[in-house]
Amino acid sequence: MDKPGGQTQATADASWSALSPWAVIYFSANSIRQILTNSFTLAPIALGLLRADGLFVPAVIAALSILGIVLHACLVVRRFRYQVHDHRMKVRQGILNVAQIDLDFSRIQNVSIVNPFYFRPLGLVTLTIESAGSSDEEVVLAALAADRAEQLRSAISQVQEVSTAGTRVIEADSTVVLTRATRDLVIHGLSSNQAWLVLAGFVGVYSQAPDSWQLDGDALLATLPPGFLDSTAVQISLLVLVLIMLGIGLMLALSVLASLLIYGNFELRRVRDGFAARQGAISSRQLNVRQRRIQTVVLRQNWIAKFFARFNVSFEQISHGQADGAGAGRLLIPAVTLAQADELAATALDSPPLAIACQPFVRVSAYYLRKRFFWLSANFIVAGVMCSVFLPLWGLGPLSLIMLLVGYAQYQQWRILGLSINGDYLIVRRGLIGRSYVVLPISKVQRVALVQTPFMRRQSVIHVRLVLASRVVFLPCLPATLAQQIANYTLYKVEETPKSWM
Amino acid sequence: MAFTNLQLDPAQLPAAQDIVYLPLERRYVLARTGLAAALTLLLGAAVAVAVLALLPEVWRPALGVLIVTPLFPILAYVSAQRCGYALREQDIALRRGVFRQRQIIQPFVRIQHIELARNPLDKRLQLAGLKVFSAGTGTETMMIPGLSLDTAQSIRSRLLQAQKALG
Repeated sequence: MDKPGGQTQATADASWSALSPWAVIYFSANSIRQILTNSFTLAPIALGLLRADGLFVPAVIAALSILGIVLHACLVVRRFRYQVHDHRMKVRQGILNVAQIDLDFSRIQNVSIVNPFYFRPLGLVTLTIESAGSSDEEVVLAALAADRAEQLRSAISQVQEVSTAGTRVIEADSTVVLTRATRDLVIHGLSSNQAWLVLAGFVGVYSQAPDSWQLDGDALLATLPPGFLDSTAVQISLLVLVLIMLGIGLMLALSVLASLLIYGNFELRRVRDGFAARQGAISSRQLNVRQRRIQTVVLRQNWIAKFFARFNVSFEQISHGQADGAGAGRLLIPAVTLAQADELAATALDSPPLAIACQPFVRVSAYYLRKRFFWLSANFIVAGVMCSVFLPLWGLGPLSLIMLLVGYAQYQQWRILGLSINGDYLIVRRGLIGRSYVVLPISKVQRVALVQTPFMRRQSVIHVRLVLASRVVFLPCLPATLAQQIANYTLYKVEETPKSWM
Repeated sequence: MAFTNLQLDPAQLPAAQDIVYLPLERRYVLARTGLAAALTLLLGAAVAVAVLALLPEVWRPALGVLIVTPLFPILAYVSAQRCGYALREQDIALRRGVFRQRQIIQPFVRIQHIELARNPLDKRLQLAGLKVFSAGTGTETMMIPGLSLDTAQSIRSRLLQAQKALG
């Protein structure tokens, strides 16, 4: 059956099933979403088109591209075939180049069920299956009947359980671990400022916009109340301040809105072999994460989250080259308290309670701080010379103030940067105002590297890089003996009892 | 397996700082140096010709900069000379870098796949490079250059064997 010989192919063909025609909607929507997310790069072209005379040409182009998208989706759906066996599934897709994916259930990393709003009246869902092997092997079964998707998902997780029969099976079947109230989501929105990205995109678009759309400086001045230009510097700077505050407020509102939409109705469940998260106010999305695949647990807290004493926790899995464990291989739990975060981390890593924040953290060598101070003062000297040449002498005042602040921030960062080894776990703390923690099971480390320059040798400090499947953990400027101890201990832990890491 | 939680003495663990690194093949070191020298010579000559032919005479003294060119072959030599590898029972180690001296240690249990990399020069000199990949290291490959073909192949089969034995 596995051999792609001509004869067996013919018999196998009988069991190939096709997608429901409704899947066209999914693939069209997906293409449109991709175009929109890349729209910041396309926007200049679009604006250039709009600058052409009349609306006729743009309208025709828009209509044609929508037609093209729908046609493409139709073809994709028509050519899509899949086949489910007991322990594996096969998918054939592609319009011109037909590719066949042969996916073994035991190698599947994530199964997520998405219920987009446009499928809701039809009772259809989209099943996304990610392989642990490579990002090319992602399978999307669009417009599946909800019960069929659920059946497939449980079939996959059953196979996975059998293949890991040696490990302990947790009996608690599908208990709700955590839900998030609106208040929590608002905090998450405030503390994870995605909106800055949107803003940056808008600035890019704006600078490309035709002149008639750009703000006319004179017209803007004319809207100011008469006599404004005679007002004092204090008044003007107050106005600017108010405008900035308004802008920040708007950004935060956008971010909160995004958080409410993405994480609405959040519910984290403990299932047999891992976690199932359901989220999404409009399109609900269910993500299943297997416990064994979790590589690191990260607690993030910026200054706003610090104010509310909350953390955003993510369970990171194998990342296929996305920076910093972002992307689909990550389960994010928004705005939890430290106690909840501790509990989540312990559950996810199957560890005893970790008391993450109360660890005895060891600081890195003061060489780290000295190096940063050295570069800061080098910059300060250059900037100071430039300043005294081109600006009046009082310019040195604000400059030194900024330098002092940066220096203080660097000192704070050094003070907070620390690591702690708790048996099988290494915890790294970073931060300036808030705190972020990376918790990694030492036995999941893939590779160890020690880095040293001749300067560092003289000071006897070493950088340690621990490469995990989810991210690289960099421990800068450790005292040489500590660095070597960590490297040796890590290698010992990895090699002594070869535990599976995925 | 019985659960144990013995106290570990850090001094008793196999120490990465005691690894004795084996040097690369001599002919690789020389070939690298020769290649760097040839490239530098070529580039230096091109710059000299360009300055002499295209720029006004006042620029001539700038040719003094070319005095640093011997630095590149020397750097190439030192870098290839310093580079070394070591096989231990449970892992493979690589040391490289002149200024940023790196020591990369890859446990056998975490190796995903192994690749023999041979460029035309390697083929001429009966050399081979060995690339070792593990999960999550897509951006940083561990490449041991300048092994003799036999060594590379025997290391590879050793790694594959260890991988198989460990499941």
